[in-house]
Amino acid sequence: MAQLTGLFLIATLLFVHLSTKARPLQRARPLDVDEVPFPAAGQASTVFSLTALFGAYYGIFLVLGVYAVIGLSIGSVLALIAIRRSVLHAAEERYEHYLFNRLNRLPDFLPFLAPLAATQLLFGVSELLVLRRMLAAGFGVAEIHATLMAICIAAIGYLYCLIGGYNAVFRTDIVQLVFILVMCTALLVHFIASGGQIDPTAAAVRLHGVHPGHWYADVIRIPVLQHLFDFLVGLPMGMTFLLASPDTWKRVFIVTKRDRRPRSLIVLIAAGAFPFVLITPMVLLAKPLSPGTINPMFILEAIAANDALMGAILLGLISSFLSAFNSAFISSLHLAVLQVRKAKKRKNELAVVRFLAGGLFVALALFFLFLFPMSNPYALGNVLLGPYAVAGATVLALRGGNRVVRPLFLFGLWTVTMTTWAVYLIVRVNDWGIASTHEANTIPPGIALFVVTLVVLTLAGRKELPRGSV
Amino acid sequence: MDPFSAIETGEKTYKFFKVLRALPVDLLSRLFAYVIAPVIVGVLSWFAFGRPGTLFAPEYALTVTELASYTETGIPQPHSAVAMLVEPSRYEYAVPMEMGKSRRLVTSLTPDEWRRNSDKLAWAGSDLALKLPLLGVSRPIMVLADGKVGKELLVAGGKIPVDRLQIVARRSVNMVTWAFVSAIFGIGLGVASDDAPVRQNSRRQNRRKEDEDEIVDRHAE
Repeated sequence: MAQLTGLFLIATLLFVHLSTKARPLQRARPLDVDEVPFPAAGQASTVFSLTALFGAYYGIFLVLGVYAVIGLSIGSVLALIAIRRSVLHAAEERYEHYLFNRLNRLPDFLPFLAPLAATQLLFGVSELLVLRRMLAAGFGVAEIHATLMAICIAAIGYLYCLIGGYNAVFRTDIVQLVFILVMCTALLVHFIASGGQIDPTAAAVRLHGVHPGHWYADVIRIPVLQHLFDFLVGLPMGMTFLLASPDTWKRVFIVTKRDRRPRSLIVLIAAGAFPFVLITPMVLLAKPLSPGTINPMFILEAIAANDALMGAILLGLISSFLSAFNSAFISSLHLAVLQVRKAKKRKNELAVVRFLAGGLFVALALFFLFLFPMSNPYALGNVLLGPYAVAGATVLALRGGNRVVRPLFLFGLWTVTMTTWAVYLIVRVNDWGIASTHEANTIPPGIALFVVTLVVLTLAGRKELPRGSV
Repeated sequence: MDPFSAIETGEKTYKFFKVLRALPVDLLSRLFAYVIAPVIVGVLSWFAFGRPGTLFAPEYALTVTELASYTETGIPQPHSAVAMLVEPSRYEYAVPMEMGKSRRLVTSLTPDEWRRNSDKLAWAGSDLALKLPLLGVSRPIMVLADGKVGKELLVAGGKIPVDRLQIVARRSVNMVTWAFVSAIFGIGLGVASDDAPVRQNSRRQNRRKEDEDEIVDRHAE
């Protein structure tokens, strides 16, 4: 299994190297690359992340049931449609021009870009934490080795971005998607072959969306209203994850620019909904979860006997990690590059990209090494609900750059919302170290943050900034 | 560190940064991205783990595992014993033990081999004394002893916490080794790949200048 992992990583690096030979990064605008293959496939691959699909979304399906997941998938599709509308509305031919010109309407990018880039970077850290825990719990890797291995795999992801930029990220996404599909198929075949049967009670609970033990289940007594609430909770969550991911903007831009017909919309919808369809059998096959403490790695620990299956799963998980990590990393890098460009335009931006990428990688490793002793790897993902809610609401309220607000106002809004979120988490969450079904209780307050930000920014947003504003 | 050494180190660091600053930006950026940043991450990990010597292979020629249970009737019972894997090396160890039910030692040495090394592997009071290398033995050996091992082992000039001598799964070591090798391979490949556009650009510098100016102008608009 170790050799298999090594060969996979080295083969992927060689793949990046060869594709870079044919399409080296340009010195002037290294990240201005729209000529990439199958961006929609990569879209599905980005959602297949350890924190989102195999963490939050899977957990929501298990704990809150099908109505919340329907909300999530419809939210994802709505986000893709909203971004597509913004792309169609703009008359730009290149993604970088589209992004830069939209941002350029603001006197200063920083209050908009910095939180977004930080959210993406922390998402990458969360992926690392989950990968480390999966390696330790599912594959018998010693804790210290799992930590080092996660850093090494992250270094490989960092090198992809550095060597090949978007070209490497998009091309490897296709390969990674194949490995993820192999993993999901292998898991499904294993469950069926080993006599795994759908527990009717557990399936009924998940399909009917009954979730005792959660605060709003006791507040809302009528089942229909409870289902509606679950749906309404899932909807903005699905939206914010994609709206706050610049990687998604780029993918939607490329798909839309290549084909302006509604067919491209169908491709995007299919790509957005595909991951949810794929995890449904795994959710239905999972055993019932009683409210309270859970072992988030229970699936991995149940299949530890079969070496071939473990190999397929390990490669699938590493692919999933690399796919999400690279997208998050290159997104934050791109935002940082735009911020630097706003301050000073350079003819050779390749050196800037290298400096920023190195700096971001060090920052990411610092966060990871600071947080890795945490026993619950999903805690950071839970914390990120707040920043994603505010970032998603900001993009939506400002219509993807069609409307603007004063940078100082935006900065103040981020400060107030994040302080509120931090206070809420400190007061409400008793034990960060323990994975629990009650982590789902943080979703509705996260959505409340989304709604408040959306309303405030919709009211404050203007077509143009008043003269002299800073 | 004494003040003079600190000043000397400071001066060397200053000179190093001065040399770095004198490098062309392109080369400096490549150096930072492919060497300095990964090295910083490596050093940070080194400090975070606190015990780098045990990452890929045992740091010492001794691996210690406590044997905590036994059974004769099929029902597990608590037990207090220790198993040690001793690899060929030049070390002397004293393993402090809380005495168990017996002073019996079991090893993978043949009786002949042990007779020749009877002073090198034996009880010394309540300590188990190991003086390596053993005469005529070049393979790793296994030693089993009754009793509970102390928290630290004694070696010439110091103590080693027993925690650092625990057995590590080979799969675990293999996996991290492969990931590490792949990352190093990636850095090498990155430096090699990233060289291409620089050369290409230096050859085509004049031809590209116009294109670059045009792009900058377009953004300025």
